[in-house]
Amino acid sequence: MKGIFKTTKIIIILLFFNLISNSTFAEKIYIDITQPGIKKLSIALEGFEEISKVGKTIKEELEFTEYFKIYGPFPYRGEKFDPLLWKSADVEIVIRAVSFGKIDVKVYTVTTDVPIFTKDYPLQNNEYTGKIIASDIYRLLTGKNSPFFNQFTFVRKFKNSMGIFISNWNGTHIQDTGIRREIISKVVLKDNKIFYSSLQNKFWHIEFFDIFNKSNREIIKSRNLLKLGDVSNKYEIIYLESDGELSQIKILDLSGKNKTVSSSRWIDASPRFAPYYILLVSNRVGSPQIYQMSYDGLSIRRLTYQGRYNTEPTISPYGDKIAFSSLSAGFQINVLDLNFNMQTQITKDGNNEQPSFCPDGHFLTIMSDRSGKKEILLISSDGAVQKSLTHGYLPHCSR
Amino acid sequence: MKSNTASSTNKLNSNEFSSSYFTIISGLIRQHWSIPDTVPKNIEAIVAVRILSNGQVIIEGFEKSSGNTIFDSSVIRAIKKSSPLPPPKSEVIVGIRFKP
Repeated sequence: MKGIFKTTKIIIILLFFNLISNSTFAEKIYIDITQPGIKKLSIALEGFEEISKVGKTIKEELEFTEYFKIYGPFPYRGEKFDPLLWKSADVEIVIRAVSFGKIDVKVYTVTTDVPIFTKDYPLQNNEYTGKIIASDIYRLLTGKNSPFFNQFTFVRKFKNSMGIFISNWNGTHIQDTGIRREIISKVVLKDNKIFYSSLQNKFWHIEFFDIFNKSNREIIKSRNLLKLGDVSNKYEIIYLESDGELSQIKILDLSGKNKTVSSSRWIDASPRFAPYYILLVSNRVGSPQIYQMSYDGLSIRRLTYQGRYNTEPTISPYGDKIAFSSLSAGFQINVLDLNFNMQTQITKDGNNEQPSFCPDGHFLTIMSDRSGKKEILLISSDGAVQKSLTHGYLPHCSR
Repeated sequence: MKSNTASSTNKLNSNEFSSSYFTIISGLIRQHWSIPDTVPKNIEAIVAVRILSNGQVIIEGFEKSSGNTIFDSSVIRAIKKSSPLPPPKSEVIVGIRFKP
């Protein structure tokens, strides 16, 4: 009997040590898992019955980015969020809205019942409120600024003239400004003003159109070629003036004060404002390349070295990237990261030109003929998203 | 997928445990891991898991969160979807480092 107790005791001690060694003191091994699959983030909308326009706008705006798949709206399922209700569904995020005196929005992942986002909005069942909520959710889930309040201006060609149009960010609401000119060479949208250069009755003009007042004002007129480059936040205008021999880059403000930045016998073109310098295209090495130039025109530095023909630069809102069109099997959009000096081609089919960075810093509008006609596309700066918006060309993206 | 599920019912021998076992479970978890394109590519998360001798996976917690809710949620989903894993020779604690 005593022997049995002794054996049992030893077994218990061995089991105890075995348990200890297997659990508490087990050696941890690290493994790496990389290269996940890429997919759209699945989102369910819940409780938008009373604010259907808001729910519809959130769904349309988020889905248009191509980053999300939206399910619902589903009926409100009660005060407490239960992740188990969504566990079997292919849903990773649930956006819940309660509308009672205000719109109370909560965002959950289906792994916990604690919301990752909570915010109240004014109780207004309209598209604007939907865009505001969609913008907050987009920022939460991507870490990027929302593109939903972007707009872009562009040009369409008619039989004997060209016209200027303006659109919301995804091309669903397009307005004709009524402006018609023989030739329009560049359009820039800044706040409620559309600046443009055009040829009319053998004179080149730079003008602006006030969208709210529907009024047009001429800023400068010449027999020399005038081509608008860019407009600063202070409404300074940078443009190219050429008499066929001299290329002059000039800056002009709305009061008519004019300054010549550079004057050369090279072909200089496409001047753009950058945070601390001017971007431009020049053929001073024999082929068009992109340069940065100081505001006094005294120093100039070449930025592009890949490709024999690089033109139409646009700078990101943070000044860290430039996009441009580069000739290689047709014109293709390239993005140059100025911090890492890394150049990436982000389009490949047809000709893709006239890039314009949007204020969110992630999307660009471009003109492409990949479908056989000239159309405006919204593309992401990594090339992953490429969406056709409308027919036309010379897009300029703004807010 | 079927062959992976079938293999999970057979215990791996001691030789496989040391080297191949972790290769196999990495592959299985990776099959279930997908992230939205919106997630930054320069983040990582480390999750400590306990794999019981029957292959059941217990998530012990984040050793390192990525700071991105969507990313962290995606790795938890991948681990949960992968359970049970092929049973190890004996219970083991693994730190899984997820990098896009």
